[in-house]
Amino acid sequence: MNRKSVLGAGIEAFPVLIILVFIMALFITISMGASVFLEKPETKKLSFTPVEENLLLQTVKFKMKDNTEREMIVLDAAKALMINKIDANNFAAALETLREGNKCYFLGLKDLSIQYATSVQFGPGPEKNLQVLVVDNLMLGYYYGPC
Amino acid sequence: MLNKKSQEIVFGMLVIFAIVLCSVAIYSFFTFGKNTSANSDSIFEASRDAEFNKQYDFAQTKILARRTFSKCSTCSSEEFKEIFKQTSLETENLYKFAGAGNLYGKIRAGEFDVVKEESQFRIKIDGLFVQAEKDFNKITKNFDICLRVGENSVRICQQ
Repeated sequence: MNRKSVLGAGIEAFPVLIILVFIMALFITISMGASVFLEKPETKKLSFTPVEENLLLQTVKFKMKDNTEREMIVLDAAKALMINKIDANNFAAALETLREGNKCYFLGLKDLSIQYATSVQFGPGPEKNLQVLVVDNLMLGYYYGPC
Repeated sequence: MLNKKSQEIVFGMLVIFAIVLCSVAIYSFFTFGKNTSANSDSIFEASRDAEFNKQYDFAQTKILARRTFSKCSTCSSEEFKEIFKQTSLETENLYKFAGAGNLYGKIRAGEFDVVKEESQFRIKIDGLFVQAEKDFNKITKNFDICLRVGENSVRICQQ
């Protein structure tokens, strides 16, 4: 068994390699096709839908604690609420003017950190109109709209 | 005899090689699919957040323009610019939004133009950007803001 004979045998077996590679490619193609047709499309979970984002960027007049009226973006108003510049009821009343039809939203102020933009979330809320959600003396948010 | 032995060895090696290659291809195919799905999610989220931040900048600039106009509708361009800066600084100190990018910085540094056009003012802020990050993906949006503010109206103007 010298080098020449091994090389010769290798050349002879080359078509076999081609066939094997072809079978492999065929197998992968079938697998890909099967996975495309059999796999269910993945659902994306979003914390903000486009409608909710629009809601956060709406400009509304809020009555401040010093009795002045100030035009603000809802996102900034949420921050103002957290630093006690807006009364909770006035805040909720201003949001009520944004409500479209019979839609119900939940505005949650989960995180008091600097990244308050990502901590403010709207979502479907349960029961009653303009309810303040308080847990352990910490106001977490509002429900508003007929839920 | 030797040739026969050689053929068996080479053929055996080819089969092993093909099996290994096949396994690697299948493994990479399935893991690759999962990775792209996760990546596209985070790219989608970063892109959405960046657009949100950009829209925030537009909305905030409109408010600042309206508020400034209500304070000095008869001011000169320079006076209007100064009041606009003060109004922006006040908002920045109270409600600074981390995603606003360089909007407040640009206004604070006076890097914007105000032109008086009859009873209206044209405010132009160039070279703005906002960023959004999700996992390893970071998206930066560059844009300019041009607004025309007048009595009861704030409109986006042509650049």
